[in-house]
Amino acid sequence: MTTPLAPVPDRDDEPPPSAEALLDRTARGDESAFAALYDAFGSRVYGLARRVVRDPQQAQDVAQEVFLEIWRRASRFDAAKGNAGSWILTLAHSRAVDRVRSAQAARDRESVVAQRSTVRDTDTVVEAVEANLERRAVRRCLGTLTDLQRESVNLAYYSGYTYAEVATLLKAPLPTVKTRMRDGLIRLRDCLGVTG
Amino acid sequence: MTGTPAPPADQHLSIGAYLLHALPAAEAQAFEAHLAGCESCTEEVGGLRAAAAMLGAAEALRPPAALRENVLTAAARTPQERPLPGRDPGPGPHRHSTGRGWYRRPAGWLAAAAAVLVIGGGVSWAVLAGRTAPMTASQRMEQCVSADASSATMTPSVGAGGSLIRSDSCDAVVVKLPAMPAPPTGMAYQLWMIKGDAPRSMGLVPSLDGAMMPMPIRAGDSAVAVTVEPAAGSDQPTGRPIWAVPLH
Repeated sequence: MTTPLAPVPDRDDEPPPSAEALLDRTARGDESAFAALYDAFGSRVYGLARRVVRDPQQAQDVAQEVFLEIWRRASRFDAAKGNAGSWILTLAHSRAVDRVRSAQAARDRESVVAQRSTVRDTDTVVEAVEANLERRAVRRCLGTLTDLQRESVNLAYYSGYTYAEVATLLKAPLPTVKTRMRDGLIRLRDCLGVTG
Repeated sequence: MTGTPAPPADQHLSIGAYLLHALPAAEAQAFEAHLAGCESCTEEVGGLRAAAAMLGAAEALRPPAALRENVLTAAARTPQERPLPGRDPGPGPHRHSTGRGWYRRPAGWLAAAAAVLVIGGGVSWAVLAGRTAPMTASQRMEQCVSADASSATMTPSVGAGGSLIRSDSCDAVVVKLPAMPAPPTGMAYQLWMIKGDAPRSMGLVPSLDGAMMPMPIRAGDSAVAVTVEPAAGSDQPTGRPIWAVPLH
């Protein structure tokens, strides 16, 4: 019989190991810890890649690349500089954006531009997405941003545009866009209640 | 004013664009150089990076099953980088005593929800008690759901196995859990009905052998989830779900 559930801690006296602990063990070559890390973050990494690069096969490639980098570079993770979840998602986003910038054909690029007016372009993906409590919180909190903040953050994060491209798309001055990105993230942080 | 790195005084404005990976490579490097010499920046970077990471986490989507195998197989034949010299290798997991992942923080996916351990109707007391209890309401609900030709069957988005049958006309669901391994000593599986960001406890899972539980649903309920909690149960989830089924 296959395991019916997401992994349950195998230690008898503790809650599930933290992502930091799993990363720590991964750095020492513990393949089961790495597998647990995949189980904990596979959906997030793949979903983020899928959202940014859009193509399912490319999203798989990006996700695999990200997890291999986690495997290879786990020893470089520094808990003093942030939590493991942020580290993993930051890496995933960076690789997904790299993929969009380097490999995406101009044609695809244009189609992404074409979709920018439909702010709800997330829904096609989201319909199929698993119930995700984080998504609810993020959606609610994105709603607390001003329109310009939200559009700046969305275009950069989810579509992989540079701030200069965002400025062009939004017909806003470069410093304004930078400021909106920063202010948008600050509002998000405060609304979500996250810390480093 | 294109392409020229901003003067240091303006550098800090770039923090948002930097964390969104929206700076061109040269500017990103310039900002990192700024960061290296800016102690007061570290805290801000941490919080804003966590916020950006939540944007990514919110997009979670179950990957094709083959990906797991591909990743693990590739890792097994990939050498790892050695720790940087001089870095404290650390004593191991206990170094990170908080143990609470960022994604588990109530402010994250649970928001300000103060979950109530009051259980809907009399039904879930049976669930909570996990033994005989008056099953009449429960049985009625189960009969209603099984007789509803327009009921919908939902499969888990977290974990695997089991299902949920939702009947809107009965205002109820029947949750069919998969067989589950014994929880760790001192822990138990607890069921939650999620409404928006607010979970309410539906009691402890009474049986590991694929328990089947009818329970009432209310407007706005969005998912049923199972977490691992201390044996006495928790007022609100303290860990992320190991099994969850969306209602819609």
